[in-house]
Amino acid sequence: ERTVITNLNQLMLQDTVTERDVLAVPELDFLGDHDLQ
Amino acid sequence: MVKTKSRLDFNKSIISTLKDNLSSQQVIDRLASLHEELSTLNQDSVETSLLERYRIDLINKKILKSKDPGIQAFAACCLSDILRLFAPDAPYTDKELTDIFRLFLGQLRLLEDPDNGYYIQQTYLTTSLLEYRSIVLLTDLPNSAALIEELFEIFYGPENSSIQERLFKIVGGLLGEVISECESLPMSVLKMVFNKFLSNKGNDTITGLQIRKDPGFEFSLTICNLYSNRLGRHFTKFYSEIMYEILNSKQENDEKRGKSGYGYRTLTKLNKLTSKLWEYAPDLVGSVTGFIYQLLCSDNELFRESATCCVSDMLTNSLTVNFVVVHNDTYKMWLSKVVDISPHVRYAWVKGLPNIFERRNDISDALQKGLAKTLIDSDHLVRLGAIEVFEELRIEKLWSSITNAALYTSLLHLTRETRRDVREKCIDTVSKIYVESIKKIPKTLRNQEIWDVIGTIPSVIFDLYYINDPNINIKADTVIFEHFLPLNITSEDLVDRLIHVMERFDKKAFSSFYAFNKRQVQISTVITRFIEFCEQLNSTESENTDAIKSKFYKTIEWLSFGFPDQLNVADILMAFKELNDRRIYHLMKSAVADESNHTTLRNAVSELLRRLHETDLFRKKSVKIESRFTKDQFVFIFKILLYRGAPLIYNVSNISLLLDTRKSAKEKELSLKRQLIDNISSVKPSIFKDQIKSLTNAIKNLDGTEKDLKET
Repeated sequence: ERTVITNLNQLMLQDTVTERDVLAVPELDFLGDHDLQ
Repeated sequence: MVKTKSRLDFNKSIISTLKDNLSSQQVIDRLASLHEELSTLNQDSVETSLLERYRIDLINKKILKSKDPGIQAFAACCLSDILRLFAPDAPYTDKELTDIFRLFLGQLRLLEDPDNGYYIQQTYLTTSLLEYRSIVLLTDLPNSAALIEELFEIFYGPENSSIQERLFKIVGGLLGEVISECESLPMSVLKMVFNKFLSNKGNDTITGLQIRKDPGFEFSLTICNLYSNRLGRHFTKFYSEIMYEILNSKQENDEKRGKSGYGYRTLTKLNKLTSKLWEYAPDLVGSVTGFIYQLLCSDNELFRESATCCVSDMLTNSLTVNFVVVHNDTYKMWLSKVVDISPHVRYAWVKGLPNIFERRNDISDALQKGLAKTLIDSDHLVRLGAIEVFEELRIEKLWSSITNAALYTSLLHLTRETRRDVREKCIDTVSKIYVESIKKIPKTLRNQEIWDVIGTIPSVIFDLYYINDPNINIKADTVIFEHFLPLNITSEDLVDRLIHVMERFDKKAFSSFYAFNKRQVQISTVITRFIEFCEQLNSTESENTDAIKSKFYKTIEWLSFGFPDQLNVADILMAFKELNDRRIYHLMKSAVADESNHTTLRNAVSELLRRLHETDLFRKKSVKIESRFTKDQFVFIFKILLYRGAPLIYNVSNISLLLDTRKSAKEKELSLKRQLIDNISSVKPSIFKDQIKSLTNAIKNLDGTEKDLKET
């Protein structure tokens, strides 16, 4: 049928990071030592 | 009791002459006596020749054209009896009958004013014209169309809104007799009758404490119920004449105007009427379903769309007669519209579903098959429409109508759509479905399959972070803290909710959840430092301003990371510093502090957002923002920073609840609590410092399972 999508993956966004890098933030070293966790 | 009479007792003159001069009152009195006697005469047993004198006198212009209301009223009553007694012959010429009916119409017009003095006579007239069907004589007169129009205008006009309720059925019957007698009726009359179905929204007007019915609607209803056979034929003609108008008015410019064109608008009204008639008089509609079938197959996409909506409406209102059974071919054609070549038609089809699901469940399987197709439709509009079905149904209705778990799985896929509008609508909808479900839908053996899908919604949301799109991340933050784990619930409820949310986390969701909470500590630190820099830079006493400035700008850069560029976060943070509002600084620090318990946090966030929302926030501090960002964007950024930076999940108030394992019966729950304690202890161990007692008890309660002990 022309009205439905046959390849759903075309429509969907894929992951671009791994579990290791998810929600990673830049380094905090600019603040100074006593602030770092 | 009607007495059988063969002669008339009344024998006085009713015409005033020079010789026998009568005052109006005398004429009225005599007419009243004549009327009283005539009304008792029986058609079968009276010798009509005896009535000849009055038959003629009553149409004398001194009577018929009299301006006196009393004379008119009684004359009309007498004439109605004459017609009854002489039936089936009408002993008058067409001209005379026309004059008689003009008199009658004038009397009927007065029914709107019950205090006109002769209401009883007018009521008698109306009842008599109906009971003996004398009204139908109107239809044979040369100018019947005009007279019929006038008759209908009298009763459908706005002036007649005060006609008494007890007359509704009689008037309805009167009009119905005319309709049933005519081969064809003027279009204006049909429009009057049918328009009432369009304009009556099922509501009656409320005047004072009484609910007043709309007389016109009541007349139309009576006509439809009692005269549906003949009215059906008129409706078919009405429908086909309007269709002819529409098809022939379609000019080039009309086509271009599409939905605002005359053709489409008229067709929509016509179809609306059809679906309304289906509600009140389904038999009438039977005569036009052929047209509707043709419209569903038309080459014209707007026609197909309009007809699709019409059938959807009729399926919704199949209370007395089942459309699916009685008009099965049309129903099947309607079903096929889910794969119509036009996305607008497919969209119209899917938009009709919530109302149908709400009112019936016998065609649920067929509808679900169609809905499944719309969820993977090639057109984004249709996919959006499909999501809206899930959004519009009440949660209990959703679970009982959409019983195929595969549909929910399909729905969840759309949280990762490339098209932003569809994706965001889907994320909002599934989040609400999740929360409503855990509140209102008990888990049973029967709905286990659906729960297996719905239960994964939080996991699906936490998995969105892996796409690593700043806009999507914001969306996920929003639904997590506005739907799953809102600020306005108690700590106890929050922990319960958290356990539910995490129950079906996949491995990726756990990782992003833990990463979120680890990042929260870092964001909290940076926000706190940011506030301190703001305070220092605004203070006149600060030393070493250059160093502070450098850190300040780097802080802004750091905080802006993770936001899309178009939100102008750097400018917003700069403006915040310029505000230099001590109370806001304090609230911000309080909101992100590790030590802040749930209540403190909730109060700080609430007051903070309220202050930031104040309309003159910038003006009273003389801070110019120009068009760099809007006030709403400003507040929005801080809301997201709070969602990310405040200890909403790993909060001191939640610790004792997580440590308390006495209430937790299920192994899964205990396991989750342990995992959370583990993670909290590695991410922010300091919040345990008030929990020594709880920890000690927890250790004691472990009851021999020392190998599970983790170091604190």
